[in-house]
Amino acid sequence: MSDEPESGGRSAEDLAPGTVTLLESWLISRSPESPAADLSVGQMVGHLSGALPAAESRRLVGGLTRSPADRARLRQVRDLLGELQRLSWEAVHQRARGEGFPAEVAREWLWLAEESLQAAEHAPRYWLANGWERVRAQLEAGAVEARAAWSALQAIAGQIAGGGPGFALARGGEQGDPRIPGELPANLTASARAAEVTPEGALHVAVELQDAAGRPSEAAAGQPVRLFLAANGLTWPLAAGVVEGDRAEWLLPELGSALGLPEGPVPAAHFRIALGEAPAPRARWIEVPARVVGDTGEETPASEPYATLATDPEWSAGRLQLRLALSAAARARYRSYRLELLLAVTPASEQLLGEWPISAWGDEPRTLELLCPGIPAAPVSADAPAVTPLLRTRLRPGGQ
Amino acid sequence: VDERRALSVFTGADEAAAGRAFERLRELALPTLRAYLRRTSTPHQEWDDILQDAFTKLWRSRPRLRDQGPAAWYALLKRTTDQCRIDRFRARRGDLPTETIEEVPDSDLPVVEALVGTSPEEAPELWRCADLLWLGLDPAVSEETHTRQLLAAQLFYLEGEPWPGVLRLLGPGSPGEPPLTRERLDDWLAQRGVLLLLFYESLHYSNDRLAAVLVGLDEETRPGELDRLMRRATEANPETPPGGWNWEEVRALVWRYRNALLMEQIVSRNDCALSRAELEALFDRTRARLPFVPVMERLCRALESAGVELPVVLAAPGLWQRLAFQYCYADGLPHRDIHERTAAAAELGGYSLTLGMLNVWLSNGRLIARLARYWAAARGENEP
Repeated sequence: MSDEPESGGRSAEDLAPGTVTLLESWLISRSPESPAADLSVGQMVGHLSGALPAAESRRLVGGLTRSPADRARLRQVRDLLGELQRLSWEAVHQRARGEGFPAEVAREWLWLAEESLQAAEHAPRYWLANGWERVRAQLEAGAVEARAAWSALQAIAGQIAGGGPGFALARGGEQGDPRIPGELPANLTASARAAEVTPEGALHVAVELQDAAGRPSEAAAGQPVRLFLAANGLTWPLAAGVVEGDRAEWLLPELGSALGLPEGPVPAAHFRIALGEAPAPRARWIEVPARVVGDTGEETPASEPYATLATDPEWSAGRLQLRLALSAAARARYRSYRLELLLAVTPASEQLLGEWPISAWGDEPRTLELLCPGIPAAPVSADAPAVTPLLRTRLRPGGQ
Repeated sequence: VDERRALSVFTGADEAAAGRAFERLRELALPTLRAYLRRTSTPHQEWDDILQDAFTKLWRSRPRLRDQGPAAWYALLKRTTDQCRIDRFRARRGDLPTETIEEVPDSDLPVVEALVGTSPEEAPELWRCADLLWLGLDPAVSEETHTRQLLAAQLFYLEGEPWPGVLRLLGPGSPGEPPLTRERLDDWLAQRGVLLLLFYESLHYSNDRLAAVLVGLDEETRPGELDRLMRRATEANPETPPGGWNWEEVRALVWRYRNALLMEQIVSRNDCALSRAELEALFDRTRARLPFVPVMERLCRALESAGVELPVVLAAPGLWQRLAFQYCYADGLPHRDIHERTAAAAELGGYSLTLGMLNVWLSNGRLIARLARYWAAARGENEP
């Protein structure tokens, strides 16, 4: 098989020998080098967790394609990381104090987790100060605050996108009601004139302020205003702005599509607004996202809210304490399961914190306490409960 | 400052600015001219003098020069370097040179222009175009995605990683991007371009990598370790050489496969203690250790067992042209060596790659001209 003659004279397309030697020399002088990548365990842990800056991740993937030995090491890191994520925090800490490769992976993972928790405390303020577009750029650059903020916001948006209107609006408001709850003076209400994901994927929200009679009101004109995304008791500050006349409006390019929200209207009940320096509206209940593990190991989002935090979790002095209620439906349907409490270390990776049989729950919330050595104290911020959106639950067969 | 701008200033009226532009032109051209002198087997110790003569001559001729673009500039650089090279040769030998200057004809200038107008910063993109052209990778897909596709193929086909493991090892990707799904991964793994990239990356052995394998070091040996090995080989030391060779053999192998020296060049070295016959026997034995056939066999077995129809994937000569291009224009190998590194693997893939065919591709500049046309089109320029 061949496509060209082996011999014979030059064709009109052929280059002269002088041209060939010149271009050959030019090409040799411009041939790119592929330097060895020197991939560290920390980079591998970051890569598998989605925490590496984009440029570093590209370099790592390029290095892996050139090195079967590094690919083998990445597999080892993956397996060790998988093991760690199934251990309790205390056991991970224990392993990190050891020696050798497994301990090195545990140390890198703990570093990532502790860094994320510290950043989570500041994440809401960080988001408001920088705005979505800068946060997006900083996500690419691997900024830990951006990562923590994105994990939290994804958890809230995930409940909107995956929960279905009946679930997501169960305690939020009626479908089609344009009113946006918020921290407003007694004589003002807020009504959505637009709340949608545009065809380009932007999140677009326009709010009209109204007086007690339902007429447009300019009473708050010129005042600072913040917009929050809300679902199942969790809120996240999306953007700040200023009331212009009787209106405030936000257009956040590509945020809707990046969060996986479908194009079209978003119920107004998923937004909150706060005027001036008023704190974020707080819910008395917070539902923790839940997934259910099937018989074959696949995980699916729960079809209704199962786990509810009765209080914000407290992280201090190496302990995590929280009060968690389980719905009657969950207790009945998953009696032989156990509940795992997880922490989203990055948007793509989680750490098991603790697990309990579901049968141990009754109608009242249970107080759960976990040893989490080395974990920083994480007070609840004024704007939003910073760490709470990073909590997840998973219902796994085999709780007896 | 790029070459186009520097040329314009160099041929302009402002002499001080022209001097600065000339320095920049010199800096940009030196790597090419050094590669050219190596290509013409000019003794290394004469390079600096020849290039000094050439640039002095060019500066003196500045008042008569017109800016005709980078292609004409490079043609002039080559001609001037050739003249200085021959002048030195004549002065040393005291007789008339037998060599004539091979000119770059005007008809070839569009092809030269398409390539040498490329800045050093753009050069990696030119080499990526070689992948797109000969391996058939999707040009609409980013280089980053092609690298991820290659990694996926290595993990899946070569290392037997099941698809969930491949997804996990590829990592979650950039935040905000849709996650890689099994369907998308299946599509990647079935693309002919991705499979050819897998073949290409497995079969291409840079000079350093091949030398390391042949002397018995790890394939991923760093260049610095080869340097250290050569230092150990030249010192009188009691260490056992790697690979079952003696130190003389190690040195000869490194000269041959890392530095791409021909047998004649090695024989004529003062520091080579092996005779021609010993070298021939050594290189015969080494040929049996070349990794290309085992690698090709392993690739074919892995892909066939995964249900890939190899004759469809390997039907066109693109893979072998991409390899020939790399070996010739990045690794600087002579055609016979390129043949040695490709023909047996090509045969296993059902392609008959003869030395005559390689000569047609390389001696007549057909691969270069093809890439130049593709490169010009990719940059939205008129095709040469």
